[in-house]
Amino acid sequence: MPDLEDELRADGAAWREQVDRSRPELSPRPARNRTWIGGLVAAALVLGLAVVVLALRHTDSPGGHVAAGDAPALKGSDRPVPVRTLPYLRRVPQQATCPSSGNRAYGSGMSFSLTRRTKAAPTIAAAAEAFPPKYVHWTIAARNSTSALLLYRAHYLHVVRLPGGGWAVDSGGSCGGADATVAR
Amino acid sequence: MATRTSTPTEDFGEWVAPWLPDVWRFAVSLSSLDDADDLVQDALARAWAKRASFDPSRGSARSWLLAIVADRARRRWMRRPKPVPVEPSDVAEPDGRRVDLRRAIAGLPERQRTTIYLHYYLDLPVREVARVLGCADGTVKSTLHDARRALARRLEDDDA
Repeated sequence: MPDLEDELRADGAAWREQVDRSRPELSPRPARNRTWIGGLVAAALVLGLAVVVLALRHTDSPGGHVAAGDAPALKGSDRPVPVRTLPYLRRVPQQATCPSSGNRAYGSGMSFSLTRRTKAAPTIAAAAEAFPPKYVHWTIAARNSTSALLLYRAHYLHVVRLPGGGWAVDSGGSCGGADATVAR
Repeated sequence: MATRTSTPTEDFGEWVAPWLPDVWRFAVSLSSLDDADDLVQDALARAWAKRASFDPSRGSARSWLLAIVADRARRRWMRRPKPVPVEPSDVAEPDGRRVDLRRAIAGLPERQRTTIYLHYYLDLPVREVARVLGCADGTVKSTLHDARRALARRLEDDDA
């Protein structure tokens, strides 16, 4: 039945396009875009490096050396930008645990980020709200100044403070049925 | 499509990222746009827990991940009512023929429907479909054949 087969392939391609539109952040980007974005990122890195080098030369000048702990005394424009990368899992104040399996590692160590490319949210709650599904009402089970653990039934999220300010979901997981709880 | 097949030991997030679009699409085909995120999250948690068992010599990372999605979907629907399969109206406004086609697919037995989605809608080759479903290549081919015959019958009935 060649006609039906062609029809299925054509509808399959249309379906992929439709489904991908609902989660554009997961869709593979065209190579040309990646090249363009890559060039932009490279240019930004070169510019950033030049700024850092200039800042270091300034602080290395006689009488100008500043220890890390003195950073707040610097003017904003002189302060080197801290470079950190996600994930921040080890900084999460508490871990989620799954009562059914009794296995803390199962509920605590995974690291995937579906929202890596999203913008930072102003609050922990706003960051969690941006994480699908939308109907979930997350509860902040534990937090400190750099991260938070949120729970909803069997699911948990790790939300982290980004170096540039704001909050974003870093990782998450599920206990597969039983409610997740905070490990004590 | 990326072809990395190393074992996911250090950075699971980076390892799984190239296949997330397919994982997401398969989850949508097995549930709905509303439930797919939940299923993906569940499957990734399971994949992380089982990551040491991944063996590149037995199949691609994509088929390994998709098999976990299928397994998690089966377990979920055993515990709660099965969702209505994805209807065209959930994702867009396709033409009338496509509405008929997807309704006909939604009415197929689960095994045939999943095989059709994996092969035609996720564009997986027969061999990879077989890896996901844990069966022989020949079984996939015969399932596809049966599914197409059933679809043709349903579409003829619609036209009549």
